[in-house]
Amino acid sequence: MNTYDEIAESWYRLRHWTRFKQELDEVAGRWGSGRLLNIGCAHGPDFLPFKDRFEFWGLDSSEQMIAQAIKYSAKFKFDASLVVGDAVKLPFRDGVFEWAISVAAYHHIKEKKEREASFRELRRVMKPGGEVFITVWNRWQKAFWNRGRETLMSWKTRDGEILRYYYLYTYPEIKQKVSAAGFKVLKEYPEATYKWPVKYFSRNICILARAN
Amino acid sequence: MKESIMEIIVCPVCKGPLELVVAERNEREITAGSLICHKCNHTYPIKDGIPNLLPPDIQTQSLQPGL
Repeated sequence: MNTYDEIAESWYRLRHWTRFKQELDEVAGRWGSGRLLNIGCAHGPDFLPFKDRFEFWGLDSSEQMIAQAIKYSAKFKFDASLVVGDAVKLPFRDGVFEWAISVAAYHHIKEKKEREASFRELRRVMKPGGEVFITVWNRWQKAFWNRGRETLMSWKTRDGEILRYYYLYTYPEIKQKVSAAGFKVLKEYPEATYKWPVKYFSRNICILARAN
Repeated sequence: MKESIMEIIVCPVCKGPLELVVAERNEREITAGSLICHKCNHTYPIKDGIPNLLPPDIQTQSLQPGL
């Protein structure tokens, strides 16, 4: 059983709502309607800002997370095509999605060549001119100044502690990797709740990019 | 899963077409079955209505983290 299968049930309860409502509302307004892919969708809270106007597709590497997403979609009355799959090797045809979101998923990919492949795969399944909204954790957020580029974060469950792998991106690195995969980065910005004038220490890095 | 997703999904490894074999369905969707890639000679399961399209090497390996 994978790490995310083990935390799926507590994730559903404790992360019941999206942490990026304002950011996702904004891109939902910008995009209007169309076919939307959610990579690393977990139980699906980040779909809600797009409800009723978009065709939903969700992918997660954890079967248990997808099972929770079925429960979540029934609770909030939305329809989504959900598959278990790997962001590094997407099981979709070329150029079929107008829009994609990925909230706090790409920082879990461990090998350098897989991190690069994951963005190329995202580009492959996007229509030219389509846009993506990605968030990852920022390496230079204050709480992480003593951590390396790679780190393990703890998640407590009833049965004990689970460690999850993170690769911590910086603003320049994520921008470079997304651009190299065939996107034009339109905007790189901190989460809406971050209030400091200098973005470089934000908790998250948000990227809005267009497929070339 | 709904049968209509066959228009979008492909084998995650070779990106070729998948053959759907239905074992069980209800009035809304396919609840059990297989998705077969003949080129890779691999069968992806559909269980409890969920297609599992993880590449074969990941399906078998443990995803436990470690540095």
